[in-house]
Amino acid sequence: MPTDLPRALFLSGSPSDWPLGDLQLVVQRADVAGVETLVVPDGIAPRDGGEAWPDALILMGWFAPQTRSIVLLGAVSSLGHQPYNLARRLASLDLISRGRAGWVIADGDADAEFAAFSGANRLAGVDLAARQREFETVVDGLWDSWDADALLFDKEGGRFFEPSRLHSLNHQGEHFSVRGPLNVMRWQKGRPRMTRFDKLGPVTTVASANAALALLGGGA
Amino acid sequence: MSEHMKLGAFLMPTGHHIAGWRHPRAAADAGIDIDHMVRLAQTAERGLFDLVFFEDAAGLREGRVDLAAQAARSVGFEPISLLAALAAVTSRVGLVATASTSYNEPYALARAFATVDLVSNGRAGWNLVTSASEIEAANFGAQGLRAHRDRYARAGEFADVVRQLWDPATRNATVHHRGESFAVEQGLGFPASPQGAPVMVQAGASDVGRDLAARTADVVFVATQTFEAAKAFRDDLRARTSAHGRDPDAIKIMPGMSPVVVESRAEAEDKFAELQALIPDDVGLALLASYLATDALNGLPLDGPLPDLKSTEGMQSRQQLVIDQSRRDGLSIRQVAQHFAGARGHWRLVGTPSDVADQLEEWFVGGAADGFNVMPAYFPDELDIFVDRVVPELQRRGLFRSNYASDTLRGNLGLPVA
Ligand SMILES: Cc1cc2nc3c(=O)[nH]c(=O)nc-3n(C[C@H](O)[C@H](O)[C@H](O)COP(=O)(O)O)c2cc1C
Repeated sequence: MPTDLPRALFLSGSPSDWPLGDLQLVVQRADVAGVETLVVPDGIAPRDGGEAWPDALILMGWFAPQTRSIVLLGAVSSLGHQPYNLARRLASLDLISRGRAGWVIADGDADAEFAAFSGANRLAGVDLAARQREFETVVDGLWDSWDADALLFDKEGGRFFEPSRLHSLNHQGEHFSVRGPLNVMRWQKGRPRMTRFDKLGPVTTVASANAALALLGGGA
Repeated sequence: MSEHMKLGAFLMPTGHHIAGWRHPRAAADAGIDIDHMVRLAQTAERGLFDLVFFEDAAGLREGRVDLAAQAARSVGFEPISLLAALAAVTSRVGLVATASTSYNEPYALARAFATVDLVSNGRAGWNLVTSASEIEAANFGAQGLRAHRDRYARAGEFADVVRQLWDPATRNATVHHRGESFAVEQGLGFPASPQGAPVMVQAGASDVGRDLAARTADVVFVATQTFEAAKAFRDDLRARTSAHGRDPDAIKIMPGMSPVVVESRAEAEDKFAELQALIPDDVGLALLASYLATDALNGLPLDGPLPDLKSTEGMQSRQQLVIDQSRRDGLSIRQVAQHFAGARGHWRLVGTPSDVADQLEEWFVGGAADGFNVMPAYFPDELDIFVDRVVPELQRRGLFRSNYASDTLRGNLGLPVA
């Protein structure tokens, strides 16, 4: 094992420098080597066409059964999402990875995101910073829908869950109106991570699969 | 008919019977247990199924929490990320999930499914739904459920954008779309899978729903209970498909079918009655009322007939199916609810492996189905039994494959590469 093993790896650079098979190898090796955190980028195509990364959260679902201990974070912007759906996908990824999933709140390329996600119809004139704050509040609230001891699985008594341990959100705000609750259970007592780049601590950016493999000491 | 029948494994965590989770052998914690879902997908692959399918709703299924608490439908996995996980632990079975055109952006959805398609080497499929429930609507704004017609207008535009984004010929080019609901000036920008584009699935059964399927779908799921109804549906869909200038063989119709497989007919009634006895009256009634989108059943005598109901903004076809069945078989409200709780109006088949094969053969050979979406009452046992007992019987009769013909979902379904 290399002595200067990175604590956190941020996959970066041009998608063509990350062929799928190599990407898979990097993730598996990073996990085995003991890298604590993997940050998966969510770069959509630039406005005038060109290459893009596949969907970060979906890649995380694919990585989860192929890894054991590495934390999987998706650097995703909220612009193309609804808070209910994003909260749900992340909660589900947390179950799939047994508590290893999370969201690095990214700003994204606003121009490209407007062009992709019907920004002209949905987002024109919207205060994006305020929308983002409210989005996070909703996601955060939805992750507390279920108490950790809510599910009873009582077959004899016909009681699947305890109603008092399920909580609706009833959020009504400027940008979102979300009743809840989430229909995904939390992983044990936890919840998915929600963080920002500047809170991650030291992160090693790798610009290609080859560079990552060299760093991890495996060779291509 | 020379081709083999297609088989889908319609997976719900605990099973299709509303009380299936209470069966002593059911995995009640399936909705939080990824290992269980992996095992089901691998079982389907062992049985050479064309695909596994996960339905979806972005919200609870039952508005009254005290009733929801008596069923297992309030927790599960978000299906697209689940498909990605299953892609890593299977290699041949198709991976299909529902996603809504009402609560997503087409670019985001196209990209998510295209990513599943990429990592699975061409095994992804999308079941397009417009989402008919008020409960889901309340998680996405204050405007309430949109009218049936408006939902389908949006869905048609949505499907067009997704298909352009998926087009393998122009994956790195920019799509230019400016319509009523969406404005997209962007391309996906990452490679297509070996099947070109994910398979398009639909299950709409209303007039507009059928037309959208005829125009855009590769596979159609449907709830039908009799050979005649299934045949009429398939004939109609094939005719509509031709009318859109498409080859009718390029659309595969797969009715849902909930099997209760027994070793001898003497067991049949017992095995089924065991499950039926586990349905609390009010849970069964609430399920029925939610699909009928009505509160007109409140306070009516359970042993009386189903009242006349006004047409719904929800699932119009399923409402009609229930009404037809209750009139045809002279069923009381309780009996309709009990029946509905078994498979939500889908075709229910109780019998030995050879009885079940007989019926499937009749529908398939008679032109009522291209294949079936198998809906086990509870998991994992009932899927195992189907794979171990019914599949070999179908193979013996030359009705089902003995090996996967292809690595991709389109290949196995007999559809051309997109
Ligand atoms: C096998 C099958 C699966 C379905 N899965 C879903 C689903 O996952 N989510 C959903 O909202 N509706 C689902 N539906 C409902 C259909 O999309 C559709 O709304 C319904 O059949 C009524 O048709 P209509 O929309 O044309 O009125 C399903 C229907 C069938 C037959």
